[in-house]
Amino acid sequence: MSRDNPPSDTPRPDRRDRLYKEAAETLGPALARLARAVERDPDRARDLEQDIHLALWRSLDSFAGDCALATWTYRVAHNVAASHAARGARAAPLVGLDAITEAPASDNPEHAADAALTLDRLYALIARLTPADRSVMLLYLEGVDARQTGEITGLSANHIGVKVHRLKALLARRFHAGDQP
Amino acid sequence: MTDPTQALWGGQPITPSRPTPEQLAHRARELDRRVRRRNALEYGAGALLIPIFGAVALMQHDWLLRAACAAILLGVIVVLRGVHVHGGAARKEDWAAPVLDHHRAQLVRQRDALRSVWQWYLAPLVPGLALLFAAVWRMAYVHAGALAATARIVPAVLIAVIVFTGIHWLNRAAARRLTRAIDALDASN
Repeated sequence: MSRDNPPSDTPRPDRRDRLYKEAAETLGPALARLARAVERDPDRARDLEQDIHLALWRSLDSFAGDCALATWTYRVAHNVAASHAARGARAAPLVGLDAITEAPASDNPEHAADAALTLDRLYALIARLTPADRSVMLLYLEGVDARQTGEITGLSANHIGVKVHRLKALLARRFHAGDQP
Repeated sequence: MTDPTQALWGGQPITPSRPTPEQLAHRARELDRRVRRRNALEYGAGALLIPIFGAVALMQHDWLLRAACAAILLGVIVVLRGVHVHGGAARKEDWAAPVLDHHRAQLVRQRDALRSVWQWYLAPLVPGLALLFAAVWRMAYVHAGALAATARIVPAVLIAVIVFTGIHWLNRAAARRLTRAIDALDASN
């Protein structure tokens, strides 16, 4: 099965459009949040979101139902987002969840609202993670279960378990306890 | 959702894009057009060298200089083909692969391209440049003797060697970094 980007005039457009609409209606908000998590500039985030939609739409001609449509959608979205992130300049090296003992402080000291501050720190944390760990974290935040996270990321169930455990502990320690930076 | 962070994350005020298939088809055509334009520029710049070196080769009476121009021309064609092959590999990404596999495939592709730069980017130009230096040396030798001809050619040869070695070294160093990243990725899962 070839999953190469097909040209825009590929066959079976009705099926592709139907699948795309289904995926976009169900997961559109998650795709938007993913784009904003990976790209903090609002205009570029909007462009990335469009790129994700385009890659998803183009890929769906190859969708043979070997996995759930949501799994396929998340895979395409996370791969496009990771490629986008890899193209961007990085000031600090990326690290895994195991290397992070505390969430980084917000770079916006004037944040007043707790929720906004927590989100700001979450975004800062996500930006530091390696592609696989970033995906695990974002999928956890979206409420995707461990089995599907494994299918999306290709990580083993054991690794997902360990990473989610670390992630929960980190979030509980830094975000739920009223801990301020 | 039991984790309040998940609730916070999902509750962000966000307006998702809802492009229609028609809008996506339009964007796809635009994107394809941009890629074609970029390729045309990329290959056009290289292709421009072909008539220039071709004309220079035809105008020369010195057979060695003609041979140098022909070899450079062939070298440029091989380099353009290499750019096309490696660019094509990048465009054929498996976007629906699991994230880890996709990331690894990207690293491997980049590492292999960097590691083989000498093969498809540098080596094809070496015979032409060597012949060119030989032709220039021979012309200078006829008028000024071996010592003066050598003195004239050595700086240019040195610069070429330094530039080629530098490009090769930098690419090998980047390839080694990617190999370490691939090994770390494999070890982590």
